[in-house]
Amino acid sequence: MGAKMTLGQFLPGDSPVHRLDPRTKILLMVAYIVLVFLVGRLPVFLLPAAFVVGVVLLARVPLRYLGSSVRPIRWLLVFMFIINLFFTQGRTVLVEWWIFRITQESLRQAVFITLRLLLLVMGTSLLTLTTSPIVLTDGLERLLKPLAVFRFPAHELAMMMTIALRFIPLLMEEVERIQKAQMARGADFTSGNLIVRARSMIPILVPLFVSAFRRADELAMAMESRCYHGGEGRTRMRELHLHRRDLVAAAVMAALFAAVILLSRVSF
Amino acid sequence: MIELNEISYRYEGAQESALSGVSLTILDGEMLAIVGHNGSGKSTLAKHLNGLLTPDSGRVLVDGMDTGDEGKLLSIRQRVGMVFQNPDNQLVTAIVEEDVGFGPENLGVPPAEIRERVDSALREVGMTDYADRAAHALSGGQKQRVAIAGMLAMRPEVLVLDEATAMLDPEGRREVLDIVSRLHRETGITVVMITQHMEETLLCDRVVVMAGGKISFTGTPREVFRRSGELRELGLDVPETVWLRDALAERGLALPGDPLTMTETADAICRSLLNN
Amino acid sequence: MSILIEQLTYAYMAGSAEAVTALADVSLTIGEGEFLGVIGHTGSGKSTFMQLLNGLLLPTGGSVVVDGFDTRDKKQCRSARALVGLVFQYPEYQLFEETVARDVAFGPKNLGLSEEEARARALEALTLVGLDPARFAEKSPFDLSGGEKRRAALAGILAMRPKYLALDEPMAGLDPRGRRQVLALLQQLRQETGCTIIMVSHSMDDVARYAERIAVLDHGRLAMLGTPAAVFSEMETLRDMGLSVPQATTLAALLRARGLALPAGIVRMDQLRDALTAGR
Repeated sequence: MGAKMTLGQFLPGDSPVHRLDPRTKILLMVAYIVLVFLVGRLPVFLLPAAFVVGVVLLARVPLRYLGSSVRPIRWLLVFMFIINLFFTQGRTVLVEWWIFRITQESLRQAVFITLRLLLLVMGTSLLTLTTSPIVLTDGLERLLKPLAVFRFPAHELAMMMTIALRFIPLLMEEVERIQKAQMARGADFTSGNLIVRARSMIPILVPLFVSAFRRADELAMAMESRCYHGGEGRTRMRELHLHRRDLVAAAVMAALFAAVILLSRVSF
Repeated sequence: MIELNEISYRYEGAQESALSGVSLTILDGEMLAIVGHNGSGKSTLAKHLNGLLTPDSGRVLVDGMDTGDEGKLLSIRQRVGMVFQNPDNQLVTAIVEEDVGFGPENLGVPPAEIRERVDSALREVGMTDYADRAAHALSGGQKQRVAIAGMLAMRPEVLVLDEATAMLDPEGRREVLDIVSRLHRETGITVVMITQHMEETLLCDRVVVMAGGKISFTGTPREVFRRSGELRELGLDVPETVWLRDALAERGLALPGDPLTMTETADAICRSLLNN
Repeated sequence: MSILIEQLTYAYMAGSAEAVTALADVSLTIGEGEFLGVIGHTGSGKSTFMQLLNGLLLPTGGSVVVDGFDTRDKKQCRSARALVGLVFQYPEYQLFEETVARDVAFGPKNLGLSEEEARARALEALTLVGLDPARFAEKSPFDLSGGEKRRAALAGILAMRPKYLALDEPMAGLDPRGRRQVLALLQQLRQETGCTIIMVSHSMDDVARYAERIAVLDHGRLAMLGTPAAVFSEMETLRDMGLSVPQATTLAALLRARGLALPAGIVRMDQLRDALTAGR
């Protein structure tokens, strides 16, 4: 049912990770991405991996949720692994058969790339798992606010995201409703070739657009009635404050950075 | 106080005027109903009350401020809260309390005070338990209550309901009407109710009947429903009780005192039968 | 011939842990030519029930058999769907074609009729709903008024010539004039075509006025089934289900409480009028 559709994959909770300031979390995620790219040696991946495990434990995220964030890209992971395994040049041949050749270097590269991708997806999904889309939007707006000096529309962007979060579930339901109404008029959406099927979407798309425009019109009126006049002079009910835990989180990340750089670049 | 002075308005590209020469004064603290069939101009009139539309000619003054004056629009809209017909298309954010805070945020109210206003507005409409719920999952009546709370949080003097009950089921309609009449009674807030449900006008002090972009007549509900023939000609209904009253009169059983409510009608029937 | 509903059960997301039973063990037969009113609180399963009638939803238990066609069978379901026209709430939101006539012809065309036949059916249906083809056929459906749009959408279903017409709150959101037009149309339809009408409504007054039989749904179960007079005599039971009774019934009860002797089963104001002026 459409009503069950939610955006993102937010898992409500009250852990220290959930309570971190969204700005901190967004910045930490950016730092984490850089961190994963900085890893130069295979064993050093243990550090970001340990970070992910730590956050998972702290936020009490059930492991299956982490698994489901990886599932959509599982074929990409396999593909990347195979491509790298067979097409990376190397000298120390491990296996050779017909035109295929696996070398020590290619195996290392394949594992390396796959791990990097895996850690990237798992780490970033932790942000959306522990932060509600609304709080995330809020954090993003405030982080981008300084860019307003360069005429970057931070507030408008955040407003658009807010409205999208409100209306996407509604439009999903609407699609279902219109589809059923047209099926009651004998419409068939499941048979025929691609072109026939694409054409059969018209009776859904036209009413959907008409309704979306009507909604937009009415929403604009409702927003105006509630004194909306852009971001200028606007206050927010929820204030964001940095706490000690935000500092601690930043310090942990800094330590991780130092360790990764040290262990990846310095030879023993 | 809202004064409409000889206002006329025509939508772009339309043949006929939606409003022509309407004058009306809405007094502080009154509960007013505006009725009329679709296209009578009642919703166009409502949109003039907070400057969503400005008249082609004539003036609308809200507490002396002209809605044509761009600089005054924010103060006008803060004073005149507006609840619309479709419950889905007027909540802006996905979470109930955030939505209620939307108006005060736009007005630049300090954060701590927004919190206070949101809490008290939700309490007024009985939605405190739903503060952190998704707006999407509420019933139609609950969404309209949140929309009303969103207006209350701006601390308005007038609450305009533009067919706010038209899309609700009977229970949702009752929820909304109960809250509005209680607010009116307890806080003395001015209420303007645009409606097609003639029964709803019985809650009001005064009824304005519109047709063809003009005001046909006004009066107390009792006065207005005395003219049931005219109402029917204008494509409007009368409450079932009024229908019965007329039907009985036609058969020679006149009911004394123009009864409107169920109890009044029952009493009047008993009295009338006794006298016969 | 009739719609035979036996032990009908429907659960959303059946088989999963989050299965929600919307309809449970409903049995009734809808006879040919009857006007059945369906009432119930929001969430009582009314809309689910309507969608099961024409096979848009398929039973998760029990069966729906329309004139011998079982909706559970894929082939028979198509035949059943052609027999039962379903009008959703706010049907005007499904209009999509460039002209009213083409929109109304969409259904007939899906039934496999030729372009000409479909158009002929469309014009006929438009006349039936009171939208003069000469004036409305070539208009864009989006330029119509609210009430006209509603009737055009109704024509879209009627053009398929359903034997059974199921309507989910066909008057919702209309102004008094629009409501009257739709109700008059349904009456006329029955007289002229003898078509069966199944109508969900929140208005007890409308149901009392038009339905011959009323089915009351409560939490997915068929709580009552009977004539308006019989159903609305159970004031207390209905109130417990969050439902009201027609205003005439309430007023009659008030009068009886004041010592007036009135016949039982008053559900319409004209009945009350007649009872009060009997012998005059």
